[in-house]
Amino acid sequence: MSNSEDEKRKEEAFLISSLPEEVAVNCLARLSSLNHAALSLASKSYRSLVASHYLYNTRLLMDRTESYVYVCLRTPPPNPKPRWYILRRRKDASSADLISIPWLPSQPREGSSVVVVTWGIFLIGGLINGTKRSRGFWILDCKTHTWRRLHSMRVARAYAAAGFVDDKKIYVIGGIIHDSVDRDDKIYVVDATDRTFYYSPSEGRWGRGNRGHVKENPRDWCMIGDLLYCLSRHGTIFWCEPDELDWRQPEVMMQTKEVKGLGSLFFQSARLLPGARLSSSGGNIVLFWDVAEGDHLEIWYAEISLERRQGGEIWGNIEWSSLVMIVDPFLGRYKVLHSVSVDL
Amino acid sequence: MSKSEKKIVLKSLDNEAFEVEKAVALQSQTIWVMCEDKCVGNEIPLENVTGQILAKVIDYCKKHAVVDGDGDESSEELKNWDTEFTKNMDQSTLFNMILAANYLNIKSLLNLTCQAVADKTKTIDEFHTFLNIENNFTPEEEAQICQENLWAFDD
Repeated sequence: MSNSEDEKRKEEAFLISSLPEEVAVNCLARLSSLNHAALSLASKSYRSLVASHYLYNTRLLMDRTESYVYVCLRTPPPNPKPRWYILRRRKDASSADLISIPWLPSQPREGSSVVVVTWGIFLIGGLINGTKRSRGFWILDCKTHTWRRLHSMRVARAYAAAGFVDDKKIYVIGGIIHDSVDRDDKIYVVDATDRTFYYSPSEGRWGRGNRGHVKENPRDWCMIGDLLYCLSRHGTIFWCEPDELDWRQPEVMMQTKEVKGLGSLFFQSARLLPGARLSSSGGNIVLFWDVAEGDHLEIWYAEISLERRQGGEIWGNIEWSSLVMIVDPFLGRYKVLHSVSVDL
Repeated sequence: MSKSEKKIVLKSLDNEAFEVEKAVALQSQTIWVMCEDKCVGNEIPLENVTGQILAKVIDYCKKHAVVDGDGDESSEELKNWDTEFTKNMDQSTLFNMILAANYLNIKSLLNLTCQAVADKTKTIDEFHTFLNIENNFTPEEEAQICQENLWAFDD
């Protein structure tokens, strides 16, 4: 990324009168992202500071970043559009709202892959009008909530496996693929019925994994801590040891187990699945789903912390479960396309 | 070690002299380097710090040196003392403390004072008044940026 914005900013006057820039940034890096939004309104040089990598990297080094959850929802037919939101927790910490942020007019309606790298959400490929694959490659800068188009991919892809591996590069693999997960600097392509396989960028080779048949056809695979989690079409959260992905002899199928203690959540959400989507934020599972409630539509959010108990069982504890958006009047179901967590 | 070797004299910009324990003064990396160099005697001139600010810096260093030595105060008490220490500092004193901590290279004091600035500035008004920032946006630009940052203000 270009440092010209940083250089240009440095040519401008003192940030804080009489304080050297590095000391001023030491003060300002301690503010939260919410305060930074206000700070960008203070003056032009502050606005460019808030947008800069310099301030972000300082906050990262000082361990001052916080996790924010973003979600992309698609509005109902006949004219479905992907819309992006940030989850904003209220001060009393008992409620939260989805706040609309700028969306990308050219975002494909489905099948894009999403990868988070520090402050950016990369959006890769997708299906345009349900048939044509896209070569598009975009980034949402979460420091400023602005979209940029990057160089297009050589190959058009939809529903590709994508991952950020080895803290270096984004890899995009295949297309029309079930799911993918990064682990041990490899990108695993997980398929519910066929064989799981992986690509290892460091070794520059493909490898075969375990036979992917698992209970209830799960998706949204993700690593949280040192375990692998996924969500079934019937709303059950499963977990397994990550080495279940690996091929073994003699061959056995992936062994997944249910996360315990989540009965009440499923009672609440029984009507809306299979629309729910699972992702992770700050070591917790996060879920988004929609509920058609008479004349309006509700978008719900839950956050679940995880605990390994004696005997090796995994128990989930619902830290939050909250209505985060109401769409009135009801014009059709919203589809949760993506949900990711970004440290800001 | 003789008594005189344990003590050190710090001299401020305005020629105020402070005699302090070496262990207190050596929390400053800058003073530590000066002592190591042995190019100074027992008196160290600090050309960037006024007596008024140096007195406060020494208060801080004494408090933290005592605790490190005896361990008779809990970290909780020390934290409360730190909070009280910066609580009522006005903007100019706080900025001068930051400059002194930066010049003397006392990392914990720099962190404390920078945090105090962050704690005193959260809103746009506070940025303008406390940090002396001049708003140089046109009303149109301001409205646009406000729109972009609605997610953070929508309370």
